[in-house]
Amino acid sequence: MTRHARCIALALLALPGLAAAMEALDDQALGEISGAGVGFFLDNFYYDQGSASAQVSGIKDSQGNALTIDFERAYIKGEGSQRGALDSEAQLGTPLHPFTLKVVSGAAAPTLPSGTQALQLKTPTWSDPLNDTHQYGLWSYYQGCLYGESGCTAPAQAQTAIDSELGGLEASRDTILARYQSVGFLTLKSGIDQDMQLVNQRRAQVATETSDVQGAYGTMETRYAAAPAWDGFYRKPAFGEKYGCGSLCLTSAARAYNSSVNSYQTQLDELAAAQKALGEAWSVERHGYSLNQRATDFDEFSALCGAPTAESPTCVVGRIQKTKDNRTSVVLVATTLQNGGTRFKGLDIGVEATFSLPSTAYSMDGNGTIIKGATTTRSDFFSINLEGFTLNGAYLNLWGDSTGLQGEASLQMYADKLIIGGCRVCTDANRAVAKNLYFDINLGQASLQPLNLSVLAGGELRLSLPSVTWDNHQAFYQQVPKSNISIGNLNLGGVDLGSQVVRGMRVDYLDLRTVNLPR
Amino acid sequence: MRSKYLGLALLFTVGSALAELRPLAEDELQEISGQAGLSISASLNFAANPAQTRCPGGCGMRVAIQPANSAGFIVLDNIQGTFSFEGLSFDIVTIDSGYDGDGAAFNASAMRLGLTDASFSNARFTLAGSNSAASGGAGFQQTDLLTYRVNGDVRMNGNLYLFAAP
Repeated sequence: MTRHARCIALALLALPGLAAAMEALDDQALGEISGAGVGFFLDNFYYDQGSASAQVSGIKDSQGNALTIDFERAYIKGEGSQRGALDSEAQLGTPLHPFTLKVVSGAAAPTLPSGTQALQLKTPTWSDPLNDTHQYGLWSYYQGCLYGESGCTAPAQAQTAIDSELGGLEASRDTILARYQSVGFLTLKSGIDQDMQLVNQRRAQVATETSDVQGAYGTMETRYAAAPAWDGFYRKPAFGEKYGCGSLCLTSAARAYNSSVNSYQTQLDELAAAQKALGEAWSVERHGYSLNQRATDFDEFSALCGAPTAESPTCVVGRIQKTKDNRTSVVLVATTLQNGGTRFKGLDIGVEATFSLPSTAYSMDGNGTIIKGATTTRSDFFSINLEGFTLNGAYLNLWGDSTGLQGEASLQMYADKLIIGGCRVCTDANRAVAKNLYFDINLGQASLQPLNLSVLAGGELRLSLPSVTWDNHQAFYQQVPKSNISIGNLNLGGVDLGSQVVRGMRVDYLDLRTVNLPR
Repeated sequence: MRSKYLGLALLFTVGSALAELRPLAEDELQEISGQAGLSISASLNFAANPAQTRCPGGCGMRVAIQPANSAGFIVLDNIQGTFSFEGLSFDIVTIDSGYDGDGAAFNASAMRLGLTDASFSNARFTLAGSNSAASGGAGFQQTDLLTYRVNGDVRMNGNLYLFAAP
């Protein structure tokens, strides 16, 4: 310590009030302090690229030609900006619902292996039905149209839609229940199991015959290749047809070929007979219904209500129950909207870009040969606009262990509208417009399938998800979260394609790495 | 030994200063919110180093991050150009109202960063993966992913509030 510093330290010590206020924390007090983090939110926010020019380059196509993307316009503004034309201000989070960046473990990140702590970035999270993306996204899918637009002011429209879907599912269930009421579902199952034994035997027979046909075809091919161009007066026939001399041909090669064609025909006949027998096995009737019908009904019932465990089964799991659960959320959102509830406003985000890429003209000459022409640079315009975008309840957990940097992410994105265009001057009638867009994307699960990011020795980036193994497959399929995408309505070039949904996607294995082009 | 005399002088003045400086009680401290903040204007220039011939005209700044147990590095390479802004404000405020009732319930201080328009002059960076933190040298390997360039004025508005999250 320099004398100067020592003097100041002494002077500070002499301040009696300060020294008294400092207290040592005991172990218990320290134990109560958890890894507090940082909360943040933004208000009155907008960003506009303005007059700046921005360009992404260095991307190459597979031939090593450079591709550039020029951003002509980019903005992030509050909802209602009319695609960036107005400087509407955005509110991202509030003091009690901020973005957070902190170290978590235990209940805040339940999937983490015990003893592990992760750095977590989490977007504002609400539990009320309108701002909880999961519930609102579900409602918006059934609603189909964009709430608030003309012709879309009744929030109960979603309720009608899910009721109709549920009604359809219940009608299918009731038909099957009525069909086998007197039989009982366990009896139905044992009947199917017994009849399936014959099906399985005959399936094996079909497999054997298929293999025989392939063998005979191979023999026929070999012998055809060895067969002479002429056998006496008889010219070599087309493949699969016989020399006219039958079994009296002069050369042994021609006779052998003819006999292989006969064998092939015999095998084909046997295969046809086996397939017919298999078809008959599927048609075996019990309780007045064919095996095919019974098996289909049983599978459908299992999907709707879960696998039956009694002669008169209950319907407490399966798709009907799931739809009922969803209906609860849909009704809750609809009721809240009817009572005048509003959502926090989202963001309007947009990018307009020009892609410049090399383009080669090909033409065909008089002989039908394709000729490579001159390579020129082509410019393609591309625009993407999001209206009313929210990212509520999304998180990213990052931690490190002996295998490297690990992570798990859950993206909960909702947007009122997504507009993708390929034309600079046109209206939405010439663009792809998706309304009520909900992305529930889950990548990685901390214990069973952590997302791994690493850089290889050569400087290549690698992103991987380990595959499911035999040891963990049960837990894997129960616990690794699935991803869902739903669109209330997709409109392409002015044509409504209706609602689109992808449910239950899960990545079993992923290994993504960059490569330096050209290789 | 000027510092020694300065220190001694401080020691002597403390006694009289204490008479004027009264320690504030905890409840009094809580009532004080940030009065005036800082306003920052800056122009940051990242110049290329012509000695590094790997990049045309010399390479700019390089930031390398090595993910845990990785052999290689993620790099932001060749960071060049000028980034400037005027009037970025910085202060501490008490949030006790607004935000649909969230403000009153929050009733605490937060650090406020007032965003402002910014200007870029030939700013650029390259995102890449590399086998080495330092640039160049024998056996140096790098896979460039993309290069981003920006030039001109961007418009930005808003307040970023930062606080300790429970």
